[in-house]
Amino acid sequence: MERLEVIDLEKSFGRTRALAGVSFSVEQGELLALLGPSGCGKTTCLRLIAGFERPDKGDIRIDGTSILGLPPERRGIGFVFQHYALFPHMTVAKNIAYGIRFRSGIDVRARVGELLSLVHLEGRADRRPAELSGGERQRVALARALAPSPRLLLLDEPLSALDAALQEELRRELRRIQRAFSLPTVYVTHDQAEALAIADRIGVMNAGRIEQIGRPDEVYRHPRTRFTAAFLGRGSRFLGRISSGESVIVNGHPLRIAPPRAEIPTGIEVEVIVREEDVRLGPGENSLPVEVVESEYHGDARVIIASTPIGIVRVRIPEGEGAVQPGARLTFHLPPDRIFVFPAGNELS
Amino acid sequence: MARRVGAGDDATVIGRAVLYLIPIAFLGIGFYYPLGVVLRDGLAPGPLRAVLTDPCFLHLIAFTLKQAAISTALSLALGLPGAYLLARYEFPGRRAIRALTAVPFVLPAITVGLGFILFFGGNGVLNRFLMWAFHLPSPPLHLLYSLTGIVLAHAFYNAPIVMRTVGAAWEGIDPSFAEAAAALGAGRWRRALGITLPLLSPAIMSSAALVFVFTFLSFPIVLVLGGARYATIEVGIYTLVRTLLDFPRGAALIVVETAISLGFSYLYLRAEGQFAVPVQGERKAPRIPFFRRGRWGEKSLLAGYAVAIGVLFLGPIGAVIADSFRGEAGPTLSHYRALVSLGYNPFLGTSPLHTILTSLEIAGIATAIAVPLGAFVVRIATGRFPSRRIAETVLMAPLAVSSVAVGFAILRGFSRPPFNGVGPVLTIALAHAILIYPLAGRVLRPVVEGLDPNLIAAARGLGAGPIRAFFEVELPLISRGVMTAIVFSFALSMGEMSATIILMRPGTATIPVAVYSLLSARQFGPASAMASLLIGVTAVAFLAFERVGEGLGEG
Repeated sequence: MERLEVIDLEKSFGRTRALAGVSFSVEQGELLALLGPSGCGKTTCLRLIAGFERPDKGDIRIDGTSILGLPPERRGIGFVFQHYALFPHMTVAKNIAYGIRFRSGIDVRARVGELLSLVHLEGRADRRPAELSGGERQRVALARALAPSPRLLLLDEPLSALDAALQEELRRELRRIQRAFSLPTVYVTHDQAEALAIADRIGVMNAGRIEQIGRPDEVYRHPRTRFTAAFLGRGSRFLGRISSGESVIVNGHPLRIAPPRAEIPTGIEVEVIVREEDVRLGPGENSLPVEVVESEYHGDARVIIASTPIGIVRVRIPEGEGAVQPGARLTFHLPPDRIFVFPAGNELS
Repeated sequence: MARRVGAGDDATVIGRAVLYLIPIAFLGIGFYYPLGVVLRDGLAPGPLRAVLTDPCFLHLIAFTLKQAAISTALSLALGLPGAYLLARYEFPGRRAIRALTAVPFVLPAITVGLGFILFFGGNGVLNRFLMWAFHLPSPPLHLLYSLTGIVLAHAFYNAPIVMRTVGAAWEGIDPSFAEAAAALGAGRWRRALGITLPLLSPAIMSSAALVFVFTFLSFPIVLVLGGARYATIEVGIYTLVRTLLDFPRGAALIVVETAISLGFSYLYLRAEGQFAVPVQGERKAPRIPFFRRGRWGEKSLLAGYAVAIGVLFLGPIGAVIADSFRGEAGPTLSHYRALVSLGYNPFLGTSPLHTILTSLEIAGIATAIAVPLGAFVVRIATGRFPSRRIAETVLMAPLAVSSVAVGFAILRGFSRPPFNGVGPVLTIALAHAILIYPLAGRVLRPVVEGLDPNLIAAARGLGAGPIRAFFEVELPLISRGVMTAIVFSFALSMGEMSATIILMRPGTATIPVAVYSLLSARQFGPASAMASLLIGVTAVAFLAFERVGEGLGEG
């Protein structure tokens, strides 16, 4: 039973604070995605776990035992780099064998063959990395990381260098292999679609901290911080003021909000976030008369930018609800349980 | 982003201390201590005042500055059209010529001096050709032993540096800038003067500054081509130290020289900071095929330039090689046969073969010191620790001190206990190592920097310790760079004359010193054979340089 625990990690580079106290744990077989914008500290966190950097504070434990004192080569990690870092002077087979060559009791050839077939690269053993396609390199990098039977798997933006179609294919493959090995896995990415699709749990990171950690549907549907709500999905943001326990005034227009998320004192300035897919066509609760400003056809859906009494609203409606031309006057409504409200910060980031 | 992995492993702390201590101790004994002795002598008020008030020395300083300024201007004038040609035109042999611009970095100056005498001298190839062609009774050109000769030789040596630096910058300028100017209505000249020239000026400035410092500190060329009347500070120091044995004033002159060259470097660095603009863009302009229609006026000018510069560059080197085969009765190998003789040669103070063996021995020792030391400098320069800048400055300081000064410092430092037992071969090798290791570091640095630090991290993550990661991943990937650094250091040591001539004692002449002694005695055949040997070493070093260039291109 392998379990990774990260406890209150802090790390600064010069005056830059990369991590400001990060804690989480990853269970055996679980895939935790660290999701955030560039510079949020997610890669630093991964490199600290690997031992490539030393934390200023905090602890990292596997099965309750601290690994901080161990150099990277003794931590038993499998690390997949963003640009793979395959050894350019070695063949595919040698790359994969690198971590097991001096291990006793391992049939290196057999193990390399096993891993090559696992990642579907049987015929590529004697190629050099420069002779492989991007997807193939990615597979070699994964096979190399898994060869020494690591205790945990760390992936740093493993798919970001690939094109979209390949990303989806390799994402599934990666997930399949990760499940087969049943390793605690930390997966760093800035791509929310990727994180939502692959992770068991997502840790949303911002400015060196974890904003929220939970199942993908949980963090998406029930964001607990302003950053999480704004970073995930796409939508519209407004400034408003709480007028009572159950409504918020935006631009002079009252909107009813669902009680559970309304535990903010009356009179407080708030940020109101509505995702594009949560706005409904037609009348209902929180009806808004709107005038269409832009209408974009997206194939499976139509995205409408509309001017409303509360401001400009971005709406995504499924295809088939009819063509909507700019200038058209329609009615939208906002279901109260789909309106996110957070105390406004100092800035609208 | 991390450069080093697992920087704080307890087990490596002692290893690190040793790794840092050895080079620091070496530099302290081999450079800073001797330099301190010279500075103490040179900063004494007596000699310093003597140097700064004697009109003779003031004239020496003024002439040094003057010839450096003229040499720099001429190098720019000869180099800039070449930079343009290499950057903008495509023609067969362009890559080879571009590669050849690296030759001055390894070609010993003494061979250039000899080549100039044989090519431009009173009895040289050019004069003999002109006398034959125009039926003249006496040589028409009197270029040598004058400011002209010195400046021309300096331009020969330094114009390729201008071509190389400015050409590379020119190629890198994003054509979008000029296109935008054209779209806004600027004609060809307005684009050249208002866009391209300002964008190129940092490269022009930096190459000019480099050439100025090189020519300010030039020694062998001025020694050979200046004759009795023209001398630079370097030659002045040499005369004071080796002929007049006036060590205090020699030291004072070194203080003055170093102050001027440091002051100039400082001004240059400040100017560079103000001039620098980011010009490298996503795009590169395609080169114009030279042999295609159009632009005839410009092309014929460039062709004429290419021929003239070809003669200037190939003539002197060709003359040395040709002369090495010339006997009184037709072609001969006797000069080369004499090289491997064990017979005593009065001009060398030893046998020719012994001279060659001494050179090889010194170069071997110097290389064995310079390459690891250079690697150490690179590790510091690319590493991540608090006082990196200061450390880098301390480590690169020998670059700011002239070769003659380094030779003199070691001569003084090692003439007293506890170092006076060190023999001449070792002190010369030490001086060479001090002069060469910053350059070896420069050869190694791009290779080390080009190495993805994640490769080492990957090896560590896969269970390799720092030593295994170094030998299996880092070293194989930088091995070509290390080989180049070795060949390069060896060639530089073989060609080093300035510090050597200060430190040599009877019986320890090296090849370049032998070339100088032989040409001073008008023994041109043997001098040319010796010099051809150096040219051969240069060629090998140059090819090694090129191979690495290709290798880096593949990756």
